[in-house]
Amino acid sequence: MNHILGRRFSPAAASALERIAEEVSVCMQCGTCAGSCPTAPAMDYTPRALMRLLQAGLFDEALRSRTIWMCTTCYTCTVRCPRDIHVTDILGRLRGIAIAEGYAETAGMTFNKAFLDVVRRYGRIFEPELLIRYHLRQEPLGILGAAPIGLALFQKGKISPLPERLPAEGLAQIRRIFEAVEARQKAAPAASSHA
Amino acid sequence: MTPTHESEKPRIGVFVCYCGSNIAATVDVEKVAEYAATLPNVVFTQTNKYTCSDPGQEEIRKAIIEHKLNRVVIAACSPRMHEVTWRRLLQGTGLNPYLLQVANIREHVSWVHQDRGEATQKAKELVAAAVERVPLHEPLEPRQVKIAPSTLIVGGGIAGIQAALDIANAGYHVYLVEKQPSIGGNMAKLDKTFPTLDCAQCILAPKMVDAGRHENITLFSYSEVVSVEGHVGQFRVRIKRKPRYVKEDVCTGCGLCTQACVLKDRIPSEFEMGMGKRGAAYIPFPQAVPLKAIIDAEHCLLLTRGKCSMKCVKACGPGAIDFKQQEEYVEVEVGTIILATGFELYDMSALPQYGYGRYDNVLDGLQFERLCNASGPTEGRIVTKDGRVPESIAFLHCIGSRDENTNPYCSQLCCMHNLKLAHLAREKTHAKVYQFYIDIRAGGKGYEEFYKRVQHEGIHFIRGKGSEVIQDGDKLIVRAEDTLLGKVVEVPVDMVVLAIGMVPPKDIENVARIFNINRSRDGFFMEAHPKLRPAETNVEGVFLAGACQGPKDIPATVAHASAAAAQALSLMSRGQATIEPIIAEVIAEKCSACGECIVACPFKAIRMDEEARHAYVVSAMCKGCGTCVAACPSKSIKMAHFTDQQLIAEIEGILGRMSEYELA
Amino acid sequence: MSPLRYAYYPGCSLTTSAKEYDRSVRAVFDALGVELLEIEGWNCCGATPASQNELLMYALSGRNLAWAEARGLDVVAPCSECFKNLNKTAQAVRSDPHLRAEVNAVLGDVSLTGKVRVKHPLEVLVRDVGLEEIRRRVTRPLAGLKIAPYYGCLITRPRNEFDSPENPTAMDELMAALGAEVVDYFPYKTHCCGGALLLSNKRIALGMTRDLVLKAQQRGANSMALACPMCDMMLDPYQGPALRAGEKPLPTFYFTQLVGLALGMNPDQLGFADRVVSPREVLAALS
Repeated sequence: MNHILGRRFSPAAASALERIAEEVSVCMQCGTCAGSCPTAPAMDYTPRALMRLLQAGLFDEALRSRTIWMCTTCYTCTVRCPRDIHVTDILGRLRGIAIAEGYAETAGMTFNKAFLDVVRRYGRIFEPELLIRYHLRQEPLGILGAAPIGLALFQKGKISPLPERLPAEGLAQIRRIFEAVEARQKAAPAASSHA
Repeated sequence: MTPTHESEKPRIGVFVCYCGSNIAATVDVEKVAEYAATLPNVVFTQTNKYTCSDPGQEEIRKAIIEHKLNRVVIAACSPRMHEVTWRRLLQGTGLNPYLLQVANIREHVSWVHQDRGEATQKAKELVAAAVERVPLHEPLEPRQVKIAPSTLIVGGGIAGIQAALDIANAGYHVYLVEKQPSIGGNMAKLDKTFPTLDCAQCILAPKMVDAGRHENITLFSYSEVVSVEGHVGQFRVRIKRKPRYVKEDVCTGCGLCTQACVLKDRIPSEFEMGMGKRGAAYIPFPQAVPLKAIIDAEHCLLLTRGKCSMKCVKACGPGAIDFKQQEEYVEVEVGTIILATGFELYDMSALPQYGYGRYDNVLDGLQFERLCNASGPTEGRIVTKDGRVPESIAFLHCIGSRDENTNPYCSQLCCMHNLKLAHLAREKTHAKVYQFYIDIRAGGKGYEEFYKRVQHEGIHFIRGKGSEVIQDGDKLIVRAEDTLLGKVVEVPVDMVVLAIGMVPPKDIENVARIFNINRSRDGFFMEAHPKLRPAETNVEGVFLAGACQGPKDIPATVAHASAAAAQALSLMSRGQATIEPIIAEVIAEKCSACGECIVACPFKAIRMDEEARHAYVVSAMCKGCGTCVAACPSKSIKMAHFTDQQLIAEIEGILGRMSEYELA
Repeated sequence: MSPLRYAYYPGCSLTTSAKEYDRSVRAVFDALGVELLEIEGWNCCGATPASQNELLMYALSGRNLAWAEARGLDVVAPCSECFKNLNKTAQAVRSDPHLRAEVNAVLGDVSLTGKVRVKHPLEVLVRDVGLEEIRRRVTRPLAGLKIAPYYGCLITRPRNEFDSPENPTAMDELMAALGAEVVDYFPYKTHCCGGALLLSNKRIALGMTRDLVLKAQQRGANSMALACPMCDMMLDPYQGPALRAGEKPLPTFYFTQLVGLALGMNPDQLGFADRVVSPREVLAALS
């Protein structure tokens, strides 16, 4: 079933969404997640309402929601969920699906993509490049706002002008990991996951 | 395979049950019967729609007579369900009832498997095992025991009181054992009761007084059962009477000692749920039964430090105070036992986000009851810890219930309890009252009507579980989602009342061990059947009353208690009971008198014959658990109906057929 | 007692913005006789962005765990985000054979079993070294510091056996053992700092940080102990932007800096000079 309520999903996404729908089937809509969420008031759908969308099979709306990009991953909802639903991890998986399925780019999406690109390139994070990549796509002037703090950190030696690269062999391993994950996820329905 | 005890050749009849579609939907019943016909010694096979029904039984009866069957295998539901039914059927035809073997192809097959082919194969294997085993069965004779005309009731809450009065009024003697200094339990702490709003004390106190005075009730308050031996009809019970340090027969309950105690109003009162204070010498509450003082050994200055001015002794006119009192042990013999040990509130330490025990004005429902009650610490005024009349109160449902992190089950009565407390709050204050709920469960006579009545009283219902409570100055902020609006709300209130889930008492494991009864996954005592035998246990003659079996409100508790009493009465009025002959026997010639079995036996049913140098089983006390058989190093103990040969034959039945299956 | 020895996973932040965390962890562990062997050629765990692709997160984290596993060492990870990812990976690989096979297939030339335990340095100090030992080694009690112990969200979440996810107490106990006054910072001690939204939803993130500072001050704190570089980013360099005009900044420290200080180490060795919110005033209060 890769054609869900009007939108066509890739087989991998459709299968991942079905799995998510099954995990949230036990949600009793008590709202503990939303009442515990520090950013729920700023979301278009509260985490509880997002669970409802998933239960109803309204995946397209769930993937378009601001909610999945407003999650701070503090895990309070997951800790408290009376039905032991791993809400935080589910939101994470939805972010991945939204990117893979080409949903409109949000600030969070730009950040995540830039972050993983940098990791893929160096094996570790390199903040200046991450910031530049981010601000090239999102609020270009924002980088000016970050400048004073960046400068302060630079002066304290807390921002390195040069990336720390892994040795060549390690870097090759990192690239192989990225490629292997991509290959598996294209070939087969999305990776199994939560423990 | 030849039978070991009879010269005649085994003639086995195999009856395979459809159980409507319960079995037949997953297992090809006809195939199983066809297969059974090919097995050794099987001379007759038949399928039945319902083997347990009258027509089903009649067919088996006819087959036994017509085909001269001397062994019967029934492939149907769990033997726990109908083994007794079919044993009776065999007996009616003149066959010994123990020449039956039940193959469980419902609970062990059709209800737990989906694949029809594999399920049918497993059913065949289980039938083969039964066919291999049953020729080795020996006729056994059930034992008859006399039922002593008395009942032990453990727990003196409303369940124990109700059961005690039912039994005592029928003319049988009751020993009522209560751990606390007074009977009354949790109901005694309530102000009013839903949905009729009767005053709890007004309806409970007369029953407490009756129980205290009844000529057929011996009340052991402040006492605990420490051990039970024996079996249905003849239980020997040892009861520990903790020292009250007050002679019960002398104390008049005047209360002068409680006024005189140097620690008066210094110790949190258990009865007041910590909302009020008492002294070390105290009477738990004005309607206590027995109305006798008690001295709290954990706090009393004399008993803890050996030094006190002992004003209580001087105040007591009749001289009832006796600091030399010791623990006493009493032994009673009873025919039946009823457990009515009730419930406790869930320990909230795993849910710190609600601030219970941390913030002054976060209370549990029983604490709020005490605030409402005219004889409570505030004489019925609902006020905050610092004496303010609250302008707003929030009631939070499902705290420690319906929650995989704490207790997955619904505590059943909290919805109605919260509605009642909300009503009392509105009646006694002008506070804004909020209910934070997931679902309102008002399934009971007059309950939904009460819900509607409370809605009329201007109470704000917010459909969303309270997620956390944060103190902010004088206010408590309840954070939740109004799920029907899809908006997160932060409601400032002066008082929060938590509907804390009901859990088994902390010592339930110990009680279960003493009485050898099972517990269900929720931790409460397990009934013999969830629908049809809700007041019986796995131990014959031991019954359950009230919330010790699972959360219950007062009407359900009273009904359950009366059911338990009726079960006990039915046994006692019959005067005798049949008990299983499935017990262990020591083969004296082989026994080396090492004593391992005596140590292993959980029922103290094995003794040593010191002169003859071998162990022997006291058959009336043996429950047939088989622990001794496994423990015996010289294989000198034989377990009737579960001999090694019988078990090996059963295993061979399965393994033999399995290898055939693999070859095919 | 055999000497304590762990594989050490610094994580990216500890080489840059949180370098004083790295310095103080190493210095304190060294002083307490705990040996740390840095994982050779360690890589980024994927942090929060990898939450969108769990297999990638497990594989990136797993590559680091494999090094430790091959040497039979448990892992110490000071950054809460790294700790959470590494710990989650070890738990998942250990308990889910299907996932284990998948992660190993991605990793290629290593085979991970998940048998390693991943620990936050807080756990090592409080449980493995022990408060008694630390109390014994204190030479400069932190009297005068009124510390709000801030755990952030990830040390005990989603769940681990170390401490309560709602009301952890290990840092409270540790700070008390150092002779500091510990303010009751429940429930804010585990509230989120907003760090994950710093770039994408800055206004909201700064609001969350401001709340943490004000609540700590309301409870009487004159400083805050931290255990995570992302919390630090919010509560040190971004504390200024988070506060409104006239609001007083609150000096914050990595908890390991405070342990080092109490053990009598030189503040320079512990990177106190690297703090953006000046700690001078509050440290001057120490005798």
